[in-house]
Amino acid sequence: MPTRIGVPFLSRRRDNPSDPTVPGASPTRLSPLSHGLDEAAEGSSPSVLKKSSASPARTGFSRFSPHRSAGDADVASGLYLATSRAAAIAAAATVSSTRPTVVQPQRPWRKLLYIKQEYPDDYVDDTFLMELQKNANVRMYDYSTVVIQTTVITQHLSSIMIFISVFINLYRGSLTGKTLVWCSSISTVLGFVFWDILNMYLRTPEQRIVRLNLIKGAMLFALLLFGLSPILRTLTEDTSRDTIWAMTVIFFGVNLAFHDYSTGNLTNIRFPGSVSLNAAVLASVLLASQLNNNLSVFAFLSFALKWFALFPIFRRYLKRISDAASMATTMVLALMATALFMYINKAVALLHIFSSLFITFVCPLWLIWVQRYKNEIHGPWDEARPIVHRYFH
Amino acid sequence: MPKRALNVCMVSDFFYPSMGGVESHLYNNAQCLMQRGHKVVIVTHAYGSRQGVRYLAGGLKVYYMPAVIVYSNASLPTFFGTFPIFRQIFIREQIDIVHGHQAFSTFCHEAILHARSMGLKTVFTDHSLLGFADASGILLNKLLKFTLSDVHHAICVSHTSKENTVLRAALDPQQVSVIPNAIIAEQFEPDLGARDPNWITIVVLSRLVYRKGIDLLVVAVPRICQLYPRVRFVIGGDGPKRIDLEQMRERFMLQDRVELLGSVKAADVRSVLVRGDIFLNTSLTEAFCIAIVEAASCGLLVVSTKVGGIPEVLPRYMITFAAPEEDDIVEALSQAIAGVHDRPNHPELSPQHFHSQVKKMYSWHNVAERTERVYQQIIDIEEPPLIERFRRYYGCGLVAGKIFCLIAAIDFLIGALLAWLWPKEHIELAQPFASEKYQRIVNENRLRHHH
Repeated sequence: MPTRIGVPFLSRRRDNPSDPTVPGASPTRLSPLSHGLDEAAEGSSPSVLKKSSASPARTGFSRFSPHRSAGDADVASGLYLATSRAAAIAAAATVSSTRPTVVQPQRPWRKLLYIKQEYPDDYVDDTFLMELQKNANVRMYDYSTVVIQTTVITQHLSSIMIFISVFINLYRGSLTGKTLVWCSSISTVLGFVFWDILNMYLRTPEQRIVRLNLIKGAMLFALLLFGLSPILRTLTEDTSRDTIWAMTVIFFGVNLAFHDYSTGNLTNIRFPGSVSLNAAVLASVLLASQLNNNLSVFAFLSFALKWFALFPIFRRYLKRISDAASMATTMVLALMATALFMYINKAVALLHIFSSLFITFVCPLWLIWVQRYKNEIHGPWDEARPIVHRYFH
Repeated sequence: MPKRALNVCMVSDFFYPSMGGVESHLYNNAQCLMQRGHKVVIVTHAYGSRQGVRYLAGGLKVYYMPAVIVYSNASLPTFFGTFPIFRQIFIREQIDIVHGHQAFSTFCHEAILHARSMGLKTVFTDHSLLGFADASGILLNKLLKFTLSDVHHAICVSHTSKENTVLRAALDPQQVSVIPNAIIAEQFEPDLGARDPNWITIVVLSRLVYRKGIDLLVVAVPRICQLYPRVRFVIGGDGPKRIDLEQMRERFMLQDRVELLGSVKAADVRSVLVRGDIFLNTSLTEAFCIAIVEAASCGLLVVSTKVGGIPEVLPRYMITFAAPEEDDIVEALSQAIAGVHDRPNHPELSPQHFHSQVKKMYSWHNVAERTERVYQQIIDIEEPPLIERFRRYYGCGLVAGKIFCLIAAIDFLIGALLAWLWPKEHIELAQPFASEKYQRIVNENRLRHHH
């Protein structure tokens, strides 16, 4: 009996299930009680020859059963019916250990509850866990596929790095609010133009999204943000700068953790993507409150919203239409983040390069390697998935 | 070995007044064990105003312990908080064996832990199946491993459930017995007059939740109604999926052919069952499924999904199996409907024969007898040294093993503290139930009613 999934005791059995079975045994006997009593008598009456083997009766006795020994075969009490049957065999075997002994044939055990069987309740049959399936629907990963899939993570990591470097430049004054507003607006318009061109090619007229309402909404939003920027600028005046930096790091961590990497959702943002977006906006507001003029705050926050709400949708779209374009974007973003940080802090820039390389090339290898420890168990106890066709719907 | 009268304490969060498979198992098993000469007390948590010590029929003593309920009747895990009260109960009632029921029950786990700290014998019965994939399954399996690594014997209600439990708790399968559930067959007798001969009635009785496969029911009902104009459905039970059934009934205009009864009281189950010809069970997972046994006992042909322990429960001439798939259920129901027409030609398929067969298959007396056998088997096992208990807990996992050892050690120390604070000798022992007096009063009352 081969050992299966950490159940090494399967090889130990109390009864020897491969007892030679001979026809002619009293087939009508149903009550385990009467059987246990009969068994004592039949243990010595010759009906079939069998080489003596006391071991199967003994090997199964586990740590808790000191009383289940061969000498304790008090069968008449009828308490350990078939257990005592094994004990009776063992007793017979010890008495006449050299000559062949005689045992009663037994009907094979069946995995049924409605029949009374000649086996004890704790009997373990050879068919035990037969229906167990291990790693039945595990998908083995292909290295190149996993490498391509990791780009979504490195892209997002790079985009956060770029965002932080933009803030540092604003904070240091090497980038003005005006420049940022122009840059972000132009790139947003470019993005939408690109999107619309693709829409023309890829979608039918009904599927095209009307931009007019979107433009109206964006204008309103921009004005509101512009009006609020003096308030946002002074929002955390009383909070220590260290606290702001620490909280920003935490919120970007949350953003990274909850970002919607998997779904190809292009229209709306759902949980957990919403958590990610909220964390990013909160971090941006905290950072913006450290800036020193209203225009910078406005520029930074509008950039933040475009960067964390719209840009991921664009990236997902790009990934859907072409893997190569997505790869190229990843490269551009990673290089951009590194280049921007080179002027700020070389160590961070190097760290970013290494972590990106690690995520892209080492983590897939790691994932494939740990696949060997995959231990997925399926069996009849699993909750079935209902299959519904809904012909009428 | 001479038979010994034992004092057994059954512990579970799930007991009357709540209703279900575990509850009826506890009650009936306790009653039958008491008839066999043992003393049984049941410990559960307080249900609303039902608190303190209560006696049920036959002198079955039930402790309704105060507890905070967190989720679907399971109490808040306190680890050590319940130790003093459990210790008092175990000593007062001179308990030999603590028998916990159901893996979802916090009380069961805590009682077994404390009983082990006090050196009592423990048995655990698992009533349900659990997968290995989801987070709750993983967590609960770890907890089960903790409890079961130091339990003397485990009992499962079906062979599939045994396989599941052995895998979940990494147990030695020889320490796990299979003792099925049962029914009181006398309460589920067929009644040929109750059914409407103009219709073939399909009865469904279950909680209307996802796990009972109500999605399958929702799609199968209109198809069967379309295929067979003389077939109608009676659906009992309540739950979140009831809305789906109501929508289906509206959409296909089946108001006259699909009757939704809402929740059915335990006492009314038979009167609903006997109205039908076919019983349909669409469960997605089931360790034993008492419902199909009750239905077969009432003489209904059973159609059921082939999941969990269900294939072990009834012989093939009583049950038609289906995969948990829409087409297959419709197919199986069609077979059963043909079977209803064919039934008068086969005396062995008559409702009365079904009933007498089920009566032979399942009885609580048999369950109690087999449970008693487990008790007698463990009662004289020597108590292993404390270090051996730690060794068993330690093997539960790299991190979990150490935590489990810690918990067991703290529990043991609390046990020692409690033994010092309230010495065993100072705890008053419970008076044995005056069963003779009780019997006399019951008989007198009965006579008075007759006069």
